[in-house]
Amino acid sequence: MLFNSFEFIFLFLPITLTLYFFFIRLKKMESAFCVLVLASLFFYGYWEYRYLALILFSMCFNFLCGQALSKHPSYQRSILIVGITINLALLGYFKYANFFAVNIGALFNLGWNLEKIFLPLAISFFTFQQISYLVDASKRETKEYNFIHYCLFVCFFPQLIAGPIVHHKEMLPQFVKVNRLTSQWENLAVGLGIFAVGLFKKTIIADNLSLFVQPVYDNPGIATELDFFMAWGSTLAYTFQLYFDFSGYSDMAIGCARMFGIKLPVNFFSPYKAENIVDFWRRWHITLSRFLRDYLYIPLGGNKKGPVRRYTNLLLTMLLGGLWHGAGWSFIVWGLLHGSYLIINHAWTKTLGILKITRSQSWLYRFTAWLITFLAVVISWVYFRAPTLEHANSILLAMAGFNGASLPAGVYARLGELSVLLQEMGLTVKQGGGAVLATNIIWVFVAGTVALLMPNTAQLFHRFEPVIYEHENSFRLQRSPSSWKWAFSRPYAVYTSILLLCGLLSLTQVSEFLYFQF
Amino acid sequence: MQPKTFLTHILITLILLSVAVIAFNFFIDPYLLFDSKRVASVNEKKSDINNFIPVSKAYHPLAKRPDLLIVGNSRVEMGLNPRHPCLKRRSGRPYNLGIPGIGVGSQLTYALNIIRQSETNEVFLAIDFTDFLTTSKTPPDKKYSLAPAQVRHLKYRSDGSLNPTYQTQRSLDYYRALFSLNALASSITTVFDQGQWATNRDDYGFNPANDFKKVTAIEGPQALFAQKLADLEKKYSRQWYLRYQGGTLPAEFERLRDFLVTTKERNVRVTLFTNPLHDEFWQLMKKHDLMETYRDWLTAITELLSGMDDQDIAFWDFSYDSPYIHEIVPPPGKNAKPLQWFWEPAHYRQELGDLMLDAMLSEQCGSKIVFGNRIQY
Repeated sequence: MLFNSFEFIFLFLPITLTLYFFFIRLKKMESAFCVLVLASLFFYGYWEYRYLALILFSMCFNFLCGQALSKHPSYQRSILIVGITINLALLGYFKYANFFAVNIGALFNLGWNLEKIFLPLAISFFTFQQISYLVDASKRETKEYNFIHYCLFVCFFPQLIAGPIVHHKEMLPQFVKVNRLTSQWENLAVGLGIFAVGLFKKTIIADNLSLFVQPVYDNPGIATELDFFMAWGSTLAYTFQLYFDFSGYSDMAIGCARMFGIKLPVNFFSPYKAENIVDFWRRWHITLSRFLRDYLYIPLGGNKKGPVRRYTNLLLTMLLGGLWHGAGWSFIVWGLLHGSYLIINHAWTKTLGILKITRSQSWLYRFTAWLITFLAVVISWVYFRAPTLEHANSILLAMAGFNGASLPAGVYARLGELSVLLQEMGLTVKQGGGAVLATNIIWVFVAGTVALLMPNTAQLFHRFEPVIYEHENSFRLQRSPSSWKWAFSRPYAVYTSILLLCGLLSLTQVSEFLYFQF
Repeated sequence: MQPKTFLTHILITLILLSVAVIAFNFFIDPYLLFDSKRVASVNEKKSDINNFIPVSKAYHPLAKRPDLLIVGNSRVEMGLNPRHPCLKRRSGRPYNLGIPGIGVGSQLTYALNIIRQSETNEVFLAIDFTDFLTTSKTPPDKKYSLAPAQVRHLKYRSDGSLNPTYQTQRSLDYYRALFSLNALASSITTVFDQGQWATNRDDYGFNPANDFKKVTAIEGPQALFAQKLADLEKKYSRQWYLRYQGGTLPAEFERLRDFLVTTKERNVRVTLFTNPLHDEFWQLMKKHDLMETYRDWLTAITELLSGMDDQDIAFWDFSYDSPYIHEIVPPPGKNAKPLQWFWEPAHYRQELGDLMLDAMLSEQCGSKIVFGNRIQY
């Protein structure tokens, strides 16, 4: 079920909230949890009921593993290895079997022809979540003896499909808190506000940007026609589409959870404002970065075993991070690119340290750093989005100007004397496409302004503690730096209504979230 | 403010805003679904209707209860004006049912759908030989069927049976026209774009070709010619066929025959005609060896009509080589004047359409025939 659908907004969510609070008022907590678990399984099965068996098996298996870890400390290592192996095997079968069969078959000319295996929704998310539970349980950082509670941790519907990836230790204590009724209306109002922001980001900004992405990225035949402006217009549109789509989804998840009195961890914190790539990864898909850091990078040795090992670990972590997103060479290249960016960033910092040069705080240095970071991220998105490496390369070549630059005749005719100058610079004229180019520029400008100049959702709702931060001061500006501060006031009631209205008006043109494919 | 009061404020504001959006969209009526009153400089021109014509023309003609239909594609939609004096004299409620971008089968299904729900007694049906071509030498396995997306808005299917999903689709279409972001954006665009070149469809379904007027005025007529020729070149550089292996004709001929039989049964008089095309279009056809195919098509249509044994069907040809199609396209430049008879190679202007209506209605109207040949069969 999609958050941006009639059935979710007008049926599923109100019914689930009503039932949940009905049992909470009767102080029947376990019944309330059962309602949430059943509702979450319905939410998941509504999409494809056949995969319910998979998630149920996964939850049963990991719950039993968790119990075994607690009860049999002497076999802890073996249980953990078995648990992680089974989880990864399931993920590997559904997500990577086709990819490896095709590539190994091609490499050794084996003629393997595996039938297409459909990827169960959210498998990457609930598998990672449960691996983290097993590891934490093995370290005695968390434990769970109640199956319903465990199911609630795994399949709580707001975060089930596309995260944020949560830890057992940060979720369960919240569910079992008994004073949930005291701030029920506040939670509902704050949750609705955050949900409205997310719905707007997804349905208005991301979905409108997608119109400029598909014609270029989903049409490999266009490679020869692709020129500088089309390639940049489409790639910048995708850059912002992905952010508004995924952070919009995260906001909706955080908003929904808050309506039930639950706070989820922050998942995005204005990533395109980052001034270096390390900072970018502290702000983008934060819960995945946290998972990769805690359960992959650090176990590999992190930065404790010298620079060479550190850089190798970084590259490996990002490579696997790329593969987590999908089984394809373009995701591998994307992961390697980001691994390389991180290595360069760390090497630069180290060099400055050796030379005892302090980082300049001048606007020019900061702007240059931001621009380089942003461009590096934009280039990486080309591989992330393009269906094949060849298509990604042709888009990048067009962005570099190898296919020339041409302006639509309609735009050209309106440029007056400037058109002569542009012609001298080598720009050519083509027929058609003027309106598309103009709207592409407008949407990228609007999205860029919101992403770069406006406070993010966590900042906007700061006074209501909308999210869980890893540390008290994870970010320099956790409060809203501007006058935009959400409050229980008439103006914000109107703003929230307008955002909700825009979302409701878009319900007839429903589109999936990009991260559902991962 | 207490959170509970805040939530109440949101609910009330949301309801009020929703009602306002519905009322606004109903009044502006950007897709001509509600036949709302047109107010000059507010909603007179439907400037964002271009992408919604198949939906609009499924419902708008029903409100107009036409007794005469002009059927075809975008060429007739912007070429034949139902306000032509001869047409107005002949019919009280003429309507231009031209729909851009849909094939012969869909055009005929749209027309029959209106005929079955109104008192239509006359049809002017335009046919283009390019709409009858296929890219395959072998007939499709499945029986000819219409793309559901094009005809799902219609109450009747082409065979006269009721479309079982019509009521649901109609409700959805009206809902979307009242309460969707697209409709709201279109309404706002409509209000803000009421200039002389704003896109429009008038109450007779006619397209005044304001988009073409705008491009011609700003970029010159050669811009439209260049763009269309590039598109046509791309399209016709593929291999096209009129007949499958063994000489059988595509299903469009069968659909045309069925249409003519149904209209005869319902006492609807039909005038069939071919659209004129500019010489540059024909040069492209020659380049891609399609002239012989064109002649074969014209013969096949004539044979189909003679096989019908129905002398009431008039067949006019405007696609022949005439002085009207040989206008020279002026070179680029600020002073380039528009052509007199054509917008671009595939679309003629209303001025030429008027001459075509003069010819087709000459008997009833007493107008002169300066353009067009009536083909006897």
